[in-house]
Amino acid sequence: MPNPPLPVPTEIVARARSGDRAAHAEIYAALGGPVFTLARRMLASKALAEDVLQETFVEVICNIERFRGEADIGTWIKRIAINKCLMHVRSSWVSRRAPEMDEPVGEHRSGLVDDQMALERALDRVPDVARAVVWLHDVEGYTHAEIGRLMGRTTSFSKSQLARAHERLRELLEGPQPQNETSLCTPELKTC
Amino acid sequence: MHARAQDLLKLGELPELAPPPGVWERVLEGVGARAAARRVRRRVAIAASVIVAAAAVPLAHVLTRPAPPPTFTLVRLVPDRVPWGETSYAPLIVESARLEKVLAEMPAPPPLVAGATAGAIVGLEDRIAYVDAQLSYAAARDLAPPYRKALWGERVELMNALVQVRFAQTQGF
Repeated sequence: MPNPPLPVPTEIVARARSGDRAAHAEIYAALGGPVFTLARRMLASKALAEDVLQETFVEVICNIERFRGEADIGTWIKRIAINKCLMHVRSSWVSRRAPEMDEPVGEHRSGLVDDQMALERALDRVPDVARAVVWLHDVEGYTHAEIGRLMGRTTSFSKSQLARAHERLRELLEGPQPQNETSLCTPELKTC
Repeated sequence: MHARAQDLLKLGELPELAPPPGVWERVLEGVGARAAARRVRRRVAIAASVIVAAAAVPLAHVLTRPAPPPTFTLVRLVPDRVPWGETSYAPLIVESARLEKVLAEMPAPPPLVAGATAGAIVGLEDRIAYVDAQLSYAAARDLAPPYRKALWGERVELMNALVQVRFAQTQGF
């Protein structure tokens, strides 16, 4: 099940549905950050993430009168953003990008900020589809079945991509694993 | 210091990123451009209905005669361009998508196409593909917005030209 919804007062949503531009701006102020973060993490390109943020909120404002309030508006907006991210992931030119370097990214780390920067760099180097899957699963809380449906693939596909992403992250953060520890199955990460 | 596998679990603890400045303004431009495009489409639909209705009455009087070559009523199939501001390329993206839609909704080309027309279409499609490749490179390399704006502008110009050629093709030229 996806992450808990992001809180936006229902009164603001109601004003937004009636076309109140100030309410639209308040929704952007509340959810622009989470949506940009989601897009940036899934796409590993600031420019593409910026485009997704922009396209998502154009879509939201143009269609908000159709939002019935059955789900939280944050969930609705994030779903739009995820679909736009996946369109980019599926596009042919993204998959033609040059392969990333293999050097570990976690050298000389000494604190939380360094760890986070290393993790961000490592995430940027995970293959596009695997990165999208690991973010949807580990952070957004989607199940493998849900991810499979979103990507038009199977549950198994999501599981294998997640294992691939975890393995790649581990390689980048720790360096190559010894032969007896390279199993794709990591019970502590629930990848199997 | 080497990381442990638990690092993988900290993806959710990565800091939230602030939206880049200027995006909200581009969102508003995009919304405005989409509304303008919607208005144009509505006017085109009304104009087309009026033309069809006006043509229906005289047609009823000439039904007994051999039918003349069909006079296409989609005179305004290619709507006016949507005006855009100078601050971003968001409206160009919207316009480009609109032109793609206009192209997709055009009638199928006749089975026999003049060589010059076919050549023009292929040439334009090749140039659009080339611009698309440049746009992809620009996005992948985070190139400056003015560069991407110029590319989107070129794409819209090419799409406009392609729509005009395809429109002429449906008219039998």
